[in-house]
Amino acid sequence: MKITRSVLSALLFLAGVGWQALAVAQQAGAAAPKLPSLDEYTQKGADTCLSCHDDESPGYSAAAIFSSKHGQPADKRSPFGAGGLQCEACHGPGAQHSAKGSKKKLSINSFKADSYLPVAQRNQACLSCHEGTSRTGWHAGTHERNNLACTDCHKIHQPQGDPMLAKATEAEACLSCHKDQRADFHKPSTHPVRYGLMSCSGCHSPHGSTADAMLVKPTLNQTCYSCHAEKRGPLLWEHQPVTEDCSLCHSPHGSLREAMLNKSPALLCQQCHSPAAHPSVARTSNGLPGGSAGGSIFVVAGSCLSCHSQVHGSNHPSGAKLMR
Amino acid sequence: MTTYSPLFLLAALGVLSAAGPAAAQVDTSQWKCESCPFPKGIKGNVDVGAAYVSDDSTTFGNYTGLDSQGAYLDLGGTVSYRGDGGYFADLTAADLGLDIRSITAESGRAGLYSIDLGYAEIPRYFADGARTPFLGNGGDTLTLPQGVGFPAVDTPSMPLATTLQPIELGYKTSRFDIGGKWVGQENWIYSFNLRRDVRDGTKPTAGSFYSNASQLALQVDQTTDQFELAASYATRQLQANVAYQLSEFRNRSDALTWENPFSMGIAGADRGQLAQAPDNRFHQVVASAGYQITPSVRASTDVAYGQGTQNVDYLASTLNPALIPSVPAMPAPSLDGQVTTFNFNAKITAAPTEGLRLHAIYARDIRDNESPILIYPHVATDMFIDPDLRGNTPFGLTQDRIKLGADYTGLEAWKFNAGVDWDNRERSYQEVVTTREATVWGRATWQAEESLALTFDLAYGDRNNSSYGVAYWFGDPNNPRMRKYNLASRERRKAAARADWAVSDTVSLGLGVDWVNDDYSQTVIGLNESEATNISADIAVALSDATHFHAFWQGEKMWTRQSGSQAYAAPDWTGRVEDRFQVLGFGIKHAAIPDKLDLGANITFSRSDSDTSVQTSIGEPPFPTAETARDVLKLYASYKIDENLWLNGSYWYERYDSADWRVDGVQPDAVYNLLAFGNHAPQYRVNVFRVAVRYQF
Repeated sequence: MKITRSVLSALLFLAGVGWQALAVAQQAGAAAPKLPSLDEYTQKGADTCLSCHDDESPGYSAAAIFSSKHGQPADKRSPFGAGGLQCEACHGPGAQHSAKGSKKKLSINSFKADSYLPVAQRNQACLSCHEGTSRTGWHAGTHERNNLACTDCHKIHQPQGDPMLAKATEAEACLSCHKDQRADFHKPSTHPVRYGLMSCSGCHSPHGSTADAMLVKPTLNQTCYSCHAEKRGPLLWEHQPVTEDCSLCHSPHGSLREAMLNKSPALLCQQCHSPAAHPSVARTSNGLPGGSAGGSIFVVAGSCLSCHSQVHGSNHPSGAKLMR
Repeated sequence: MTTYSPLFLLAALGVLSAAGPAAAQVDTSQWKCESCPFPKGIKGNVDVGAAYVSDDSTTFGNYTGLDSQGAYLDLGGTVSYRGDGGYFADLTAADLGLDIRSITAESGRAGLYSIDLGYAEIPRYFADGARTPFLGNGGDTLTLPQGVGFPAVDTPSMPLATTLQPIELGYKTSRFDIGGKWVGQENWIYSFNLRRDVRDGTKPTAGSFYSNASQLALQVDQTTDQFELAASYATRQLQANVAYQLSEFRNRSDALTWENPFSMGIAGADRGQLAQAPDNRFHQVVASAGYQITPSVRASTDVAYGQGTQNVDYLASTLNPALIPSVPAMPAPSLDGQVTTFNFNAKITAAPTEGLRLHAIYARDIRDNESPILIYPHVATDMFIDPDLRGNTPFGLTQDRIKLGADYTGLEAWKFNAGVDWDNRERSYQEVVTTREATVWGRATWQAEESLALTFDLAYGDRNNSSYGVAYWFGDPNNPRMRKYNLASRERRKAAARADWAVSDTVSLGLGVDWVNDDYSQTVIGLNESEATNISADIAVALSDATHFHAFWQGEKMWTRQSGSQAYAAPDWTGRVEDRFQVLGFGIKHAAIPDKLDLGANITFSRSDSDTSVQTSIGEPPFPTAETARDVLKLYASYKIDENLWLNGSYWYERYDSADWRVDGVQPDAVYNLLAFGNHAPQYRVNVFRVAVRYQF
């Protein structure tokens, strides 16, 4: 009986405490201020935001935006231009986010990977201003279809500026996804991307293009001719694959061979040329210096190109065989 | 870029808001932005320092400008000005003491106009250890020392011991940019860009008399100008752009003339001439537009019409004085060449239901070479007059592409993309008139959980040709069993898988594999099959708030198999090439003393091997493996001495070893009928030390 009374007393005590706690909680809840709605803007605009996102807040500082084109008060197109919505032009209404007690990540477009907003909605904030010129191809472009966020590449709050706008740093962002190309640029023969002297956007339009591989020009060859105009012609004696597609012989991201060739001559040339006599002859290792057939001009150095050196075409009247 | 009123932004943000209801107009009159740190006046930084390079290496100097042992000035910096009313100016300079120096500048008034300038250099080197007996390298005429034994019947008989001299083959590209932009009224922006690339130096080439060839230094003295004038218009619904583009190439050298070091036994065959790339010009008008038909339907199109011309006077058919009187007259003094290009594409995308999007693209690209077709006399390598006259074959190509695709995101964890692409190509003067390729592809992405995503890709392409004939445009006809790989029937299979896993807040992993196989099953002579496999692995770890580490590895294997016929009949030899490449990299960044001392290191090891085997019925041994090995170590540190002063230092070690049977051991006289450069596969070990002080003002 003693035990029963003790247990009953304990239960009554706990019930009393629980009731009291519930009552306090209800009172507290009733006293909690109502949060602004998600579509409500702050009272002071950027001044509200910067009260937290200032230089004293490592990792959350927004100060770098003022060194960028987005933070230009004299530019009427800028979020900070006259009448602009300042920070909230991109991040959306911030009254709830700035209110005490709000769920910070669930009340603002942070543009971060863990944002509660889907990528398309995050991107819409950027596209609402940046849809012109090169972004007309964004829709249904490869990057858009793969759910890429603008901020996966662009970092507009960095003190050193957006890395996508500098030739030396752009490739790092591109190659973080394009692994095969990252490896290609470590190969012995490449364009100077890993040296920071050439950017991916020199050839590709990351915001979308209907050309294959999102090239900046309508065709691959036109893209190559931008820098290699000497190969454009028209020439008296053209080499057909040169006029059709540079990548039939070259790997523009990198190769193990000189001049970024897919394969070395003579085998490269013999994939297309098989007339009777010397073009069809098997060029074996016997043609190496010291080999059983002695050093062969068809095997070493330029191989076929030692004689047919005008492989991109010739404008010499006697250059039909690309030897002049 | 377009000007939008706050109302437009407001409307966009209404869409953004998770709460749903559109926001009312905001009164921003009290938004003073008093705490906004808008920069004013002049600020910037200057870097002054020195670099020391431990060894000579033209290969290491490729794209680095650090080709010679010794000290270099390390100078750079940035200056920016922000004034009232949006006036601004920015200047950035880097590596001014090196051959990769660059300067960019931009100035203007924000939101109204801007003008930008740029200058950059890129050094390029070729052929480590090259030697030549020719004189006048870098010019347009190469001669041989007189009275010492040139010409000779073969290279062993040439007086090379006393006449060979080292030659540095390479050129520098100097790039000048100027551009401007003006923001007009009513959503218009106008811009212009002018770029000039000047190349100056030499690059390797070769010239021959029949089958006796010499490797030569080709003069490079070229200028390419690119100009674009553009206007763009953008509203929320319509974006359009129209531009005129001009590209002009000019070559200050029209030919390379060289003295024949071989005695051919044919009168007058003692000088040859290679045509340099002739001046050419290309004009193009491009227009593009995007239109939001409804909130869920968008259309865009691009159109370009271009015309390329080339009309440089021909060189003489031969320099051989014994043949000149007998060479038939040329049909024209120059080509008067003209190529017309037309490019068009149209794209439409629609979202008929929640989670489903459809895409359709049609594109047409035409290269129509309208150069006159004439019959030309042909002098074979300045040795004899070809009895057959030759007509030029201006190649043309018309390519039509249709792409249909769909994306479905209606299932919670799965996303699907699929499509079918058609690619039809019609060519002139080729063995095949038309090739048609259809490719079906699909991708499935499974977001297994918030931190793990798996992606799978499959594609299958089938290319067929109209019929395979024989083209006589280039001398003797090919073996009728030959199928050129860009014209041949082909089946292409692709598969890929990728996993991205955020193991925790501080660790992320990535794994990927790609495979592609091209099967030319109907090809008897030519490329029969090729295959490539790629595997990649990545890890990124935030060891602490101050320390971040990443590592990656990528392995690639690619092989090809082809057949040939020495008998001009059925295949009697095969060629197989197998390339392997691996790269392993590590990087670490460490804020040793926050806001005071930053340290970092990057290490990469890359290895390549290439095996080539050409075998007849005799069973010849394979070629030696061609190999490269590059190890790179980069260390860097930045120490903040005080508020305005930093001390930056770096160390860069690079080791490069390579072996290549194409050049190794090929001395200038190693092949009796080839006067070679005698260069070797690159080898170097270079240490680079850099120390610089950065002063910020």
